[in-house]
Amino acid sequence: MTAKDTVIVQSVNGLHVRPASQIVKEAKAFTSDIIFQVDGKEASAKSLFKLQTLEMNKGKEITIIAEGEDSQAAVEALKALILSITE
Amino acid sequence: MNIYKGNSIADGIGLGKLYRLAQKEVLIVEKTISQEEVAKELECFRESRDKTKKNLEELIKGASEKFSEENLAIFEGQILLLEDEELEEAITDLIKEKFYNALWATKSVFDEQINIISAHKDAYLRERAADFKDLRDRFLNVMSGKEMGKISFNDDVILITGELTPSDTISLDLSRVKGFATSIGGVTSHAAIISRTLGLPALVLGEEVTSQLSEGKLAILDSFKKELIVDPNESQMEEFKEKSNKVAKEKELLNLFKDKPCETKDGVSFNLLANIGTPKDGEQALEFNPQGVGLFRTEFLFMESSQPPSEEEQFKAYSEVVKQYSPRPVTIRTLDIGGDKEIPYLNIPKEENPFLGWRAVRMYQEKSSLIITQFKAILRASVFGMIKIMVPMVISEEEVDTFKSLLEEAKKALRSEGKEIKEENLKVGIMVETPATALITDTLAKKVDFFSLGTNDLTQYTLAVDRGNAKVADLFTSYHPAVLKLIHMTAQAALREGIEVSVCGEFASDERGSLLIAGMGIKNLSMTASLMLKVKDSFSKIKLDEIQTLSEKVLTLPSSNAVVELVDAFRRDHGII
Repeated sequence: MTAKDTVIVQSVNGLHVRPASQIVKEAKAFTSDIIFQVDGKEASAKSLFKLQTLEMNKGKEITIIAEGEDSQAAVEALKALILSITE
Repeated sequence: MNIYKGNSIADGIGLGKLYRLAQKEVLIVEKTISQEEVAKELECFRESRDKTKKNLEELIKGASEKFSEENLAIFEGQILLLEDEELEEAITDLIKEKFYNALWATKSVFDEQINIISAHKDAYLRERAADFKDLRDRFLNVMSGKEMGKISFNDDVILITGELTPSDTISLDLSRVKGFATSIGGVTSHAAIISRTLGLPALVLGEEVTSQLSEGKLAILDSFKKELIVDPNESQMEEFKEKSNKVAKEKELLNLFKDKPCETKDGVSFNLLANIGTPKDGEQALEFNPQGVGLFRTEFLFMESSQPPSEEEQFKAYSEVVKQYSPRPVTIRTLDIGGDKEIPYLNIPKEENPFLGWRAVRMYQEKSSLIITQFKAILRASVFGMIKIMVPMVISEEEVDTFKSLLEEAKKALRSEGKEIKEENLKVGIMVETPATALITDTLAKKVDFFSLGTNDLTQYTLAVDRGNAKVADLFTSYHPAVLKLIHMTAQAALREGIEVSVCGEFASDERGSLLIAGMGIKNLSMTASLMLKVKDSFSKIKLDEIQTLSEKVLTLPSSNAVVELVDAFRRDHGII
């Protein structure tokens, strides 16, 4: 089962290591494969290392794609989390 | 003697011998291995990784007293990176498939990552490449058997470094370090954050300068003046002593008054509030324990993007500050712009006299949807705590009626959308920043909940002096008897009608102005948070009736010079200066 949604980065300084680590932790709570697409590039949301290759500055659109049993829940949870990171 | 100019990333002043922090980048060359060695190199990688992780954990434990949680999070992030499976996979793949040794494989993977991040367009994110460089060097040092031991010093030192990394600052014995002269690093770099936390000055001088500095020479690092003075002469040493005494005194004030209320010698307390421009300012101001926010400028929301901020965006920003300060009140000033500020989407025509033109409350009716959106966002934030809505540039009753009816519209819209507001948490007031306003405060006081005196504009409009114009700037003084009378008149009207009155202009933190305002019966002074310490210090040395008498006398004086003289004599008598 595939789920997909987009979200705009709110974080003033962008999603660098510290805020991104929250996202990775959340992503790892799901069994689905989760991919973030930004600027035409993609990376696994479960890898902090790979995720940092994406430029997730404020105002940037992230497409979240999850595939697996809990894909819908994963996309929703990650979207809410990204919206809540404003720092 | 040599003076080098640089950019300050952390303010302060320090004296010490120049000491070059050795570049710890390990020289690693491409090296391939045989099939038989693969297992050994894989083991080497895993062992070093675990050890690096352990070192980091120990660093955190050892440093948790000196560093804030925020700074330690840098290292926690590095630990998470080390645990990353994709990182492991990338490195072990290179070992297994390309037969690189562990060192070269690790360096290759990190370098690629650093290249990608260094190409980011966003400056802040680009600077985060430093996190990866730092982790790479730490990791490679462990792998090649070079532990990063603690470095200690016999003398006070100014450290010459490349990019100051989190690991640098944490593996140094900081007790003798008096400043950092670095070749690179921005104001948002970890280095800057960490040096500011430690209260040490840091100056970015560029590679060209740092490479030619010679070790062992005495130097003054003055990041207020943005200077590194090598081999200072006598007069420069004098200046250093004077300045560092001043800095030490300020630190002392900070420790003495930071957590104390603002009280006179006879125990009368005043409310010191913070002036802020962003939620981040609000957070930083909390360090000084303000009694609330007396001025939250909202223009930042409108100036940083190419379209007006949405209700949600504004709601978020306002709520953030209200939550930080609750139960203390937050005064939010509604949009205060005119032809002097360029905001493309607002299409404000250029004007000959923007300060006498179409600005602030004067455009609210025509830009009603913009202002109703702002009102809605502010009203919604009231569920989180006390909010005082403050409208700028009001000069008449009609304008009060206008913005009040827009405010009603905003409430109506929220009700129909089913969004919650908390009426009992809301107050509505105006800025008093023109002589016209001050002169009719007795009638305006019946229509609003509070006044806030914007003394900078009040002075400018009263004296008809633009202080940005160098030819007349010296005529700009809030000690002018006309300005003082208008402030007094406003205070009197508020006291008579029983509404709150505060000052949020520079006069509130002014060494003389603060005493005069307080003497006139104004209890709320709003200012840049760091300035509160000096105000608390001077208030602690006087009694209420003394400044009341002083203010009465001042109102009878003929000139600003006479005012300054009298107040300074008072301050000398009371040991304030």
